[in-house]
Amino acid sequence: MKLEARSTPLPWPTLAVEELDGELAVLDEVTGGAHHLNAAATIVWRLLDGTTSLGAIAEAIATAANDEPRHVLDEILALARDLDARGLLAHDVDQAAVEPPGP
Amino acid sequence: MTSHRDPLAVLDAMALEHRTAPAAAIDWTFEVRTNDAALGAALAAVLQPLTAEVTPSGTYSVVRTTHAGLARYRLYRDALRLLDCDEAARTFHHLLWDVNQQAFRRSTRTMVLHAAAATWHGGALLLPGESGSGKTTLVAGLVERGMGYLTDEAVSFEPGTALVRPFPKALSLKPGARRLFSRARPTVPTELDAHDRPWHVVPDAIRPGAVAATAPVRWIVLPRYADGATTTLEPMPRAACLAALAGHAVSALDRDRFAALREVVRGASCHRLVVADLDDACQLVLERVVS
Repeated sequence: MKLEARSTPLPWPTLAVEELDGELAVLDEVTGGAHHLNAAATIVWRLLDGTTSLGAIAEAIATAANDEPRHVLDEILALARDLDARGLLAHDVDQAAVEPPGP
Repeated sequence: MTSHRDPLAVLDAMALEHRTAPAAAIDWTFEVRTNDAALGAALAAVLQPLTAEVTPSGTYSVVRTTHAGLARYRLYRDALRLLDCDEAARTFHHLLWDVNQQAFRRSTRTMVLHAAAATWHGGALLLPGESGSGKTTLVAGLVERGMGYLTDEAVSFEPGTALVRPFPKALSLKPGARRLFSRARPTVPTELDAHDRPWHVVPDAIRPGAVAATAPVRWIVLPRYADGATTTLEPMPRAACLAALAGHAVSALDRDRFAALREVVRGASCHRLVVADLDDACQLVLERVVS
């Protein structure tokens, strides 16, 4: 499912996460892959709780940073989709998008 | 009815009179024995930096036979036959390759990274990289210019610390790097000096007294060889360095070892280095990293 503004992802629970200088290194013990999240990505990562939508996170950050909300949302969606593509996020699967219509 | 004798017992009964001193490759302790005097002397010379006061847990046996004027070599690790061929050079290089493999595989107690390492005034510089990244050439250049030698292949840590243990194996200089260190050319018998195989150069041939003692990690530089590029050095965030370093772990990391690796990185300055010219690369490391 493509992540949208209403999506409420959260970090995949089994990841090992270490912080250094306000940035994160994330280890997926299953695949062995390790990933770097810069300071901006780390702020967003910490706000991903499975209940707050990406849109709400974008609003909060735009307000705090006095930035353009649409621009912030675009940045956060791009980041979330990148994290998702790397297998770092858990989120609900949109059943309507993957199940064939009934008879 | 056929009876099979224990291969090791057969080897033990043979006159393999040329022996190396016991050696340690991280947690792999071993000795080598052979009935080929020239091969035995060459192996003893190459393995000398790994000599240790240990009771070997394994034995390599190299048996040379001659039939109708043709030599044949069989290489064993304990009772396991690793190689059966007619080339002394192939046997020589395969044995040294296997020592490295066992060093990786048997280091279950300690975390091991694919990395070269050198020291400067008591601190260790890590050069993580896969084969072909240029880490051996770079560490050889740095040692030639005065840094201490820890390893060109595998970094292991004292458990629970950021202290790098020396694994001062002979440096494996690939054919492309030979011209840079021509005066360190190993003196091995002609039959062992294959043009398409690496030189195994003992650290003292790069610089006498080069082998260093255990040292804490102070600097991490990720080298990448790029022919024709410009040699450049740039700082990198520690978190990015940790993620990169995790990719160089020999065995799979769990969260405890990942956390331990974080402690290694936490006290280090971290850089990326693009290496096109060895002189330039060494100068950058010496002047802008470890100085």
